Amino acid sequence: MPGTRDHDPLVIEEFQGWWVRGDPESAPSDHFIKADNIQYFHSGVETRDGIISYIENLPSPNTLKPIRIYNYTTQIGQSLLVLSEGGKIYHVKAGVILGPILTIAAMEDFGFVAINGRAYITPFKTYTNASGEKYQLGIQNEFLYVYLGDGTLARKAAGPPPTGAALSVVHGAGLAGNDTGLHLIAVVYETDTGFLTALGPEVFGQLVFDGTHEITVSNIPVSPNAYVKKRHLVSTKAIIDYNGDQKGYQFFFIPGGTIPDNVTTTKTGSFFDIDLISDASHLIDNFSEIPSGVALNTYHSRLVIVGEFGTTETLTGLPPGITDNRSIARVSNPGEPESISKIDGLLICPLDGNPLTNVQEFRDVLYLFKHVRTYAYSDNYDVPSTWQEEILDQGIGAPVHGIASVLDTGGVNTDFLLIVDWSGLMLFNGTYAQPEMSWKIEDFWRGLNRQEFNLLQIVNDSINKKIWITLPNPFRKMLLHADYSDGMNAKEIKWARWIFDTQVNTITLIETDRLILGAKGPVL
Amino acid sequence: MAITAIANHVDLILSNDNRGTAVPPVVFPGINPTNAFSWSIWVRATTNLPTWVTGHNCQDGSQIIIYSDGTSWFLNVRNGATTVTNFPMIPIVVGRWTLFCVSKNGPDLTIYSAVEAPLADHPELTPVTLSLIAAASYTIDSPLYNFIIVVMGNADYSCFKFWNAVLTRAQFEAQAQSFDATGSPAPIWASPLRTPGDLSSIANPYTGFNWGAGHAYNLITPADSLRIVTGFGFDDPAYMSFNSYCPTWVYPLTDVNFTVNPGLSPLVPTTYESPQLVQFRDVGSVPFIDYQIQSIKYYGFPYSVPPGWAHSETWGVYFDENGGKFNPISNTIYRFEPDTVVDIPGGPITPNNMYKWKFGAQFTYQPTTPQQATAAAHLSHPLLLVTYLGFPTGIPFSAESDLSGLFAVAKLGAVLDRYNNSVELKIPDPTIRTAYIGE
Repeated sequence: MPGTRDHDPLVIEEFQGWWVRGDPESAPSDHFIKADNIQYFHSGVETRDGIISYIENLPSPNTLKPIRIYNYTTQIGQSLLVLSEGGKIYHVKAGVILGPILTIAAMEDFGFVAINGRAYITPFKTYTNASGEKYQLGIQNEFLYVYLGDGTLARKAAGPPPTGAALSVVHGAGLAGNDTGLHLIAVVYETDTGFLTALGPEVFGQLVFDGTHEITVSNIPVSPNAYVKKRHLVSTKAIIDYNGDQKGYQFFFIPGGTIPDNVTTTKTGSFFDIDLISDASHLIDNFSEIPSGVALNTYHSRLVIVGEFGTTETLTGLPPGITDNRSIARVSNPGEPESISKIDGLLICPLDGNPLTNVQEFRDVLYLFKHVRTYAYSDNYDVPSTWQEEILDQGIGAPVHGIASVLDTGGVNTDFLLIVDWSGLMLFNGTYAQPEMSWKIEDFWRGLNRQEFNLLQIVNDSINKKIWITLPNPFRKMLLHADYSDGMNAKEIKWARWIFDTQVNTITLIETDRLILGAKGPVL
Repeated sequence: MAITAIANHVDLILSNDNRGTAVPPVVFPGINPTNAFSWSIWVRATTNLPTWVTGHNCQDGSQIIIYSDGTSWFLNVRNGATTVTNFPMIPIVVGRWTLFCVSKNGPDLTIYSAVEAPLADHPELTPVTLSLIAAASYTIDSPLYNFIIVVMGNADYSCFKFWNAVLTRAQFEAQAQSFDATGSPAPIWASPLRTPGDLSSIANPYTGFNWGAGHAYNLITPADSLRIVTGFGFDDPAYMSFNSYCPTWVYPLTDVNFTVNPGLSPLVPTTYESPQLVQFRDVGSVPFIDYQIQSIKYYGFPYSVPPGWAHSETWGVYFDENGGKFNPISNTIYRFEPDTVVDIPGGPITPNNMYKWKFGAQFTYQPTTPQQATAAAHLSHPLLLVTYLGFPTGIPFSAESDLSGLFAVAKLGAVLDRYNNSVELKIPDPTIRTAYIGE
């Protein structure tokens, strides 16, 4: 049939989504110049799904005004950690609001990672420099916290070493063999998260073993903290020519030297030096309180925390003009997320004035991000401070919530990362793919307020091939939505905006692919 | 469902059973300020229970009321607290459509009525002959806040038409036979189908200005509850340029009918509080700026249900945003009867805190000797009447607690955004509903 008034019919095979690039007249005919509150399905488009309340029984008055939510996977199921106004973190489990499990008035946001069913929480806030630029760092003199997932209060991760009166070590009446010579003996606390504290008390016990009698240790410190569940005795091997520096020797866990409570103050036993195998010396250098940062993640069973402002302890002795530890990443010992060495458990990124913002493992490589920098580190199975650095990209980075968490697991999809960058939504598969995934909506993306990229949070539903991104002001009523069911590339991805009558601050996926919105309304 | 028309826009707002679950207002242009206007509506009583069709001047409490006592349609005219006239117009035939035509030209009020022919094969096409019910002058006008409110229950309604002109009997009759939105003069606004709930046929909503939150509606339910408010003296959206105040209604979150029945009349005058409390939410009408607000008043319909000794006075009960309680019974400005709009004590209540306030009712019973069984006291249809200078925001506003929290995307067919406390809002302005390629 001929076209009306010389216009040929236009055949549209597929809706290709929102187009905000250049003049609206330049939009391809199969794209929308406005695509609000719609979602895509195969060969079609429809009004987006509605939303419903996630919690039926809200407290009265409703104190839940979410700023940040994370999917918190415990060993018995999934739940949510919710930072609400006032610096209060709640645990929402099975429709019940527990807590607040942590209250820090200055906390504007928090980073989170779940390890072994426990939640590690780092409070952070936004600072403004002399140029008016905003950036995020852990709160000064605040720390990493651990929450057990049971509704009890979160506490500082790690823990202080034993303190109190000098440890007493004497020979007992019983006969038992041991190696003669001077031995130093100390005590280590073990917390309910398995963390082993530094050695204590302040004055270790010492005794010249006679080789024939058992050893009795008394004045064993008792922790005032209920989370200390066990104590361990540690000892040096026989010391020749002791120089008086009690921490200058290697300590080992004494076989049979575990006290499985926080009550007993005396322990009797004996051991030979050859039985001292398990090293405890590294505990001396561990943080008893771990400085807070902006982002947490895991790498080779290690906990990594980046974006530290610092504490009184870590801010001493800095070079002139340096006021924080913004380029330091702290890395724990393998399998011990709270065990972070002050000496060698760190990575120092190039000191370019920009703070570290994010951290992610991908294909066995640890990536650290700043706003427009990407660095790569590989585990050489030595202490972290020896890991070699590779500067991957000096033009692309990620904000504090700018790496897509995938489904309800977080982190990496099968073979790529989705990263929010000032230049666009980037596909990262070891290198950054170009053009960026947000190429079709480049004008909109470039118009986003860079000062508030910390408000962008991205989740990736890889089953249904959909992406959602929260947005900065003045778009906080909106989510950016993308459908990549036709292909994960700049040409075939389809964009839309989802608009609500409330301010959507934060999003996450739970129960595999159920999108949860944390909102604080209304919007004036 | 309620329909509110103010100056040259008409808002559709849910009320009654669905109060608080509103889709935002839909706005219709074209109603110009005038002192001369007419309207007509078809009504069909479904039971012999009382029902209302009310014309109401909300500024001074004067009212033009059409109501049913179950057997007849009555005209009741009030000048403030004083009843000017009250008489039965025509008997009610349950199940039969009745047409009321009302014109008002300054103080002159004229009312016509007609009942459809019975047993007609196509009653909707059967001509009706209007009868003059009343033609009189009543000085019940307020120069600015001159509203019509139509409240209906226990009846079907349809085919509401409105003109910025005084229609003659012939013009009304011509319109009565014409179930469309044309005719001479053409209605400013009309729902032309004479079928129950035909207000859903309203077309051409005004979507300009800053009503960006989206104003549209899909369905008017329930069919037996309708409130229509029309008014003049305002030039929406140019309130500011005319420097006139704009009244608007703020609706309850949940349907409530405050009621209490003490059982026996007291020995001394006694006031009883009803246990119900309610909060309000707005669908985009009230600006958030305190100084733009002229007044916020509490509105409701007090009544008692016989038999028994009826209460004598109805008062409000108020809890401010901090939980402070106010339950005055000493000053008549807080008394509902005979006025239906009362001042709000304490606070002050503002557009920024009114969504956190809780409202209730209390009822005063006078003593009798000997004591008698009491009739249940009621206050229904609670509303807030907010008068402000400026523009409607177009942004639905509810208590922060309603829109704050955790929400889940509901797959498979949820057509609304459902927030806390059963607050339902339309998905704002989807670019497209559903479209398939290749079909």
